[in-house]
Amino acid sequence: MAQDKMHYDAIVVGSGISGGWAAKELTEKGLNVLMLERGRNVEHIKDYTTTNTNPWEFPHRGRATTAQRDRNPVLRRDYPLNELNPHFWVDDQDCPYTEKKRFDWYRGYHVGGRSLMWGRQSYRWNREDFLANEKDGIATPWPIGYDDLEPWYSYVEKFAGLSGSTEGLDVLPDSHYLHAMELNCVEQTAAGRIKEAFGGKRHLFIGRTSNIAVPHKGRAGCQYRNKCWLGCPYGGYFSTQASTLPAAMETGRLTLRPFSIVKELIYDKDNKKVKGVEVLDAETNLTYEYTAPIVFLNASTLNSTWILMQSATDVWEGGLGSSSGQLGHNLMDHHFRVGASGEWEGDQDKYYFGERPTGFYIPRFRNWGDDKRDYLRGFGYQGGASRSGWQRGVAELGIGADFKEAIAKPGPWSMGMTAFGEVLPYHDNKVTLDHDKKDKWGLPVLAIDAEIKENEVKMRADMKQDAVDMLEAAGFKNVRGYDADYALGMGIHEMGTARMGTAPTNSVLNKWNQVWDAPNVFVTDGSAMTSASCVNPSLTYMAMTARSADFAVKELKKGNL
Amino acid sequence: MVQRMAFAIGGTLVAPTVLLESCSFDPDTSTAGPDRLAVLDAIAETIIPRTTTAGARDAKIGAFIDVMIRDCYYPEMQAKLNGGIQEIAEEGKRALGKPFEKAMQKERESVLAAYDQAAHEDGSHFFRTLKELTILGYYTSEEAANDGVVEFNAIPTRYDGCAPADENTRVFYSKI
Repeated sequence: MAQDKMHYDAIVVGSGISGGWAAKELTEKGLNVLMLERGRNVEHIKDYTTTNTNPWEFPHRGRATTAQRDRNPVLRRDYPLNELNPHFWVDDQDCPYTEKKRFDWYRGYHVGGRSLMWGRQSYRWNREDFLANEKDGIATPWPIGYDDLEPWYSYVEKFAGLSGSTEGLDVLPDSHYLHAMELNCVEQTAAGRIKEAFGGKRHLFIGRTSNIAVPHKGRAGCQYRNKCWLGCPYGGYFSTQASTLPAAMETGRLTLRPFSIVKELIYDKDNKKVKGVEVLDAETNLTYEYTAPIVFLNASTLNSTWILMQSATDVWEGGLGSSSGQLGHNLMDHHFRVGASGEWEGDQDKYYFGERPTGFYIPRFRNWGDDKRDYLRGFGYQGGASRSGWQRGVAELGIGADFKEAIAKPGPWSMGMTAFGEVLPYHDNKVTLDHDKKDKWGLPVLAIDAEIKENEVKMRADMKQDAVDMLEAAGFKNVRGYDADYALGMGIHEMGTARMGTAPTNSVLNKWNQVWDAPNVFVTDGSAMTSASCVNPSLTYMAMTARSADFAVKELKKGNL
Repeated sequence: MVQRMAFAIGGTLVAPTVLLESCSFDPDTSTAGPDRLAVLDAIAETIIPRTTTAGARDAKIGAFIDVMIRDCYYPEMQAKLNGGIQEIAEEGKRALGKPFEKAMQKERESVLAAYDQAAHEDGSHFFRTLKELTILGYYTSEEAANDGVVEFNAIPTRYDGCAPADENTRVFYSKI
């Protein structure tokens, strides 16, 4: 490794959605950047090994085997354990963690991280989201507001490329859209009826997504296959590989180092800054030190916090950023798996062509405007209408030629919706280091101790009933509400544990995402979140990262870092 | 540039091997013997027979079911399913006076009708799973796609949310 360059202008830890943005912004502003990724490399297109595999070429038609299930006690709890893209999900045996209470942690350790498998729903936070903690008198106030982030939302949206419709709603500010995907005919009818039935206060429109079906920045665009999570050879959605990585590489100033586990940040207590990172090579188990005046932590919510906890422990026992008493605390997610579905009579002469990679969205209406509930915050819905396929034949009576023919044809329409609700930041929802358990590389693992509480439980009653009410109002039959239960983490929207705040006493990070105790460390992934909103968070991470990178480079040039 | 150093030191680019191995064999290489495959094919063919289009036997659904039972179910369920398959074979022979797999479609249907009725009433009945695997395997098969049983389109390129449909319209799909 003698020829290895060990000093850079900036180090980015992590290559997922926020890490990719950090690398792009910092390199485009002239910095030589080292991007560290703990897992293997995944090359755009070439390494999407199953994206063009035909259904019949999967021996188990997508289903997980018992061997997979036995090896992955966490992944098996939900859809991440499957036959289609197991290469994008972290192996539970190699990377264990401790559940003091059940917490489903679905991870992607490879270049691109979960930007390859993400749900792609992209929403701006609204003005009230940033004010809610202060107004409700809970947790700690956000140190930034909507106006601080608005220009950066615009900036990242124009590069990432989003599709959606402009609705002009305060509760869900519009983004910049290249086009809108369309509702199908049943969804269109339902949208009109719901609007009418609820006095124009409930809105159903096409889900806003980072899928684009027009050429954009060298990407061909969506082909309506809806196989996004296998990796898209058409660049149909925003990912590190399709979007930020090529831009960063284009500058000639990015070095990407896979198989690089950051063990800790090297803290210089005389200068009260970090001088670099200690890297464990995941293949050789050798360690290396890389130095830089700026470090961006984008290792994913819980892993960025893990790195902070591992760092500067000779100064603070709890690690860098722990002086606030907030490091590791206030873990959030979005709670969901509750909603309703109903059957639709009619439109048997209508169907769809193509597989749309988004559904509809119904923005929050609870605790909004003059609506007041006995819980704080609210929820939005994601859903879709479709006609049943041959799968319905399993429960139907019938065998033989007529049966074969009947279930090959589309069945009745139905529509379902699932609510995604805000989880409050509770101080006692926390992660700590578990030194008694080690991962494959002998490193201590995280112990997670978190749960939803009364506010979320109360909200779930509305999340179910409001869905039932809307479907019935829209004319659906046999409407059934459901609550399929939820454990924290299942939303794969981990947030908090290194929150931003207004003072070193109430937070780990300041308003520019700098660690109060080491201002040349910027944490711009989900760990920075001070509250959760109810909308999908990734677009906000993108905006926050671009804003923070801009600030970091300006500060560096001023000699302040 | 991607730093290649790490690769050169002897690692591989491959993800956890257990996971990838599960995708590395061919369903046609089922380890079932000919007797078992014949019965499985006969059960599947009874549910989804050859008509003007391929049937379950053409799509090798017997082998598919065997692989699924072997790889995707735990011993208790494997025993239940294998016991059910044996029961069908024996009941077929008893009722028809000849091996189930050698009987005509209508004869086999007469045997399976009772099992289908039982599975319709009880979702935990073994036949529900055999029917499920037959349907899953067949409608996602290359034969069903090629014969136009379903409208498989790997690259639709566009989306129409209000496309016209009539009695000949087939289930559209691009992925599993």
